[in-house]
Amino acid sequence: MRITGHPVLPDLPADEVGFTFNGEPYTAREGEPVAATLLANGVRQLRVSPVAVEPRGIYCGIGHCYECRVWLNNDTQVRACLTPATEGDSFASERTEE
Amino acid sequence: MSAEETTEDFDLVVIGGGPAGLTAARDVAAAGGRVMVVDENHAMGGKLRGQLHEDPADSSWWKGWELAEQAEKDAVDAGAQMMTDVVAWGLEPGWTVRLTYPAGRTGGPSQLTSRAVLVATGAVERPMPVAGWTLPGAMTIGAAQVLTNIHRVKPGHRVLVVGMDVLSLTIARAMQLAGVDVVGIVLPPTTVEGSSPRATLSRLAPMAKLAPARYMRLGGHFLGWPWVQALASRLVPRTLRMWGMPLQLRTSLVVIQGTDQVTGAALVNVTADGTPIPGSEREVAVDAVCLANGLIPLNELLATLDCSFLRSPDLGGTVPVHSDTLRTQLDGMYVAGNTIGIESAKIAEKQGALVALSIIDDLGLSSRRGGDAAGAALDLVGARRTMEFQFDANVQRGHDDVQRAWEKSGGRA
Ligand SMILES: Cc1cc2nc3c(=O)[nH]c(=O)nc-3n(C[C@H](O)[C@H](O)[C@H](O)COP(=O)(O)OP(=O)(O)OC[C@H]3O[C@@H](n4cnc5c(N)ncnc54)[C@H](O)[C@@H]3O)c2cc1C
Ligand code: FES
Repeated sequence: MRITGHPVLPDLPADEVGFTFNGEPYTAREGEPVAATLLANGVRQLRVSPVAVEPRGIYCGIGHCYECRVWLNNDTQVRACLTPATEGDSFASERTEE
Repeated sequence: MSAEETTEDFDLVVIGGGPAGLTAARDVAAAGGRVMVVDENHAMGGKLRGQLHEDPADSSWWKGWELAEQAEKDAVDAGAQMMTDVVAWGLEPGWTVRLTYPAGRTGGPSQLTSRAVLVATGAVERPMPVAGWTLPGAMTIGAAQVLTNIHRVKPGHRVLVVGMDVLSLTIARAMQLAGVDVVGIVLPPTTVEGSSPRATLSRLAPMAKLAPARYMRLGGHFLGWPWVQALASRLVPRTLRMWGMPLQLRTSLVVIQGTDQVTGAALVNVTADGTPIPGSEREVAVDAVCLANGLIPLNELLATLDCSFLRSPDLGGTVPVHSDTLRTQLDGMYVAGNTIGIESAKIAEKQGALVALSIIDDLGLSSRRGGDAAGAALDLVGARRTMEFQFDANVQRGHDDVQRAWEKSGGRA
């Protein structure tokens, strides 16, 4: 789903930051929010809503709706549409008990 | 900055690093003010960063991403400081700006104190609740803009756009440029206020009159003659083509379909007044649906403070009462940009320059740029008149209403 060879905009640098989401490895562009990396890899579902038990993904894309929240390194909930990965981060839909 | 260092002091704290905030920061810093800009995004520029359209004035490309980088650089060169990945969550008179770091790792001061605060928090999208809108793959048109133009990821392979306004048409075009198959642009479900074919056309029609020659050229093929004729006539045509994309003026969304994610949408033909025509229901296979229901000014930070608000449909929602020189009723509190009404980035930038003049004046800073705020306020009115497009054709009327409310309230307390 990556856009390359855009007729107006210059190409972006290649993927280089490694992280995992629900245990699966992904490579992100520096500074790109995890939701964008995941969508580029065909992953739309970021979590399951706790009450209705329905899948949720990117909705507003600008940090306003909190639909995209995921767990970062099992200790903080972050908005996947804003938060870039740093090398070695692990993101997950659910928090796991240790 | 270390985590222990919790307060820093400034002449001006700008909340929101969009075109309004960055321009104001640049000018106040250039006048010698100690300025800090905070923004919750990872990069400065606000909504400007994602914008991409052909400038009707000279057919050059309006590349928001480059303009945002430049605006940030200009502000930094002038001496303004910047903090990204930080949310301002509270304001206390005096002024104290309370901060939080949602990414959970960028430590910084927990509050900033400042002689003046500029709220330049921009706008957000009005939600369009429709059946299926929580499915992954259903997103706002703004999300599609950010994904396509900033992150360069396709929102979908086959995309349906729901809602017709200047923004949705512009973003549909941006998606098409990026190689997305925009299978159609349809109307919102009939339950959404003002979504009938006739209401949609009447909202778009005054804009064609605004600055006709320029407006028609918006985006090259955007508004050809068939479109303008349709706007002028009472008949609502079934489909118009825009850069080859079907603009289905008599089709409404019924529901977004899918189990784990979007797989399609159900559509129905409607009469000019928006009544569904039985037997015309059909389905279209798509992997993303982008919902456009207009923008609303974001100014909730001011809601807890002792200032009055005015509801103005022309401005897109509720805005704090302020002067034409962008002072609020509270000493040291200023507003600029889409937080006080939905307009283009060019206007937001002008508002940033205008509010800087007021701030420089009130703080007693010397301005190398010189200039008088009252004159700049008039220029703004003039600029609005010649803008190539408006989100709402009556935006100046909205600002006039605010001005009357300001005068009636006796201005600054
Ligand atoms: C989705 C969307 C798409 C748009 N597309 C176009 C377009 O294509 N063309 C056009 O001319 N106009 C467009 N606009 C209108 C746009 O608002 C203006 O063009 C312009 O960007 C407004 O500038 P601003 O400085 O007022 O606000 P913005 O550019 O919105 O900047 C405000 C910034 O403040 C940040 N912020 C808000 N609250 C806080 C807080 N509490 N703490 C920290 N940071 C905060 C926001 O995240 C944002 O980065 C769009 C608006 C939206 C919402
Ligand atoms: S998608 Fe709305 S906050 Fe991330």
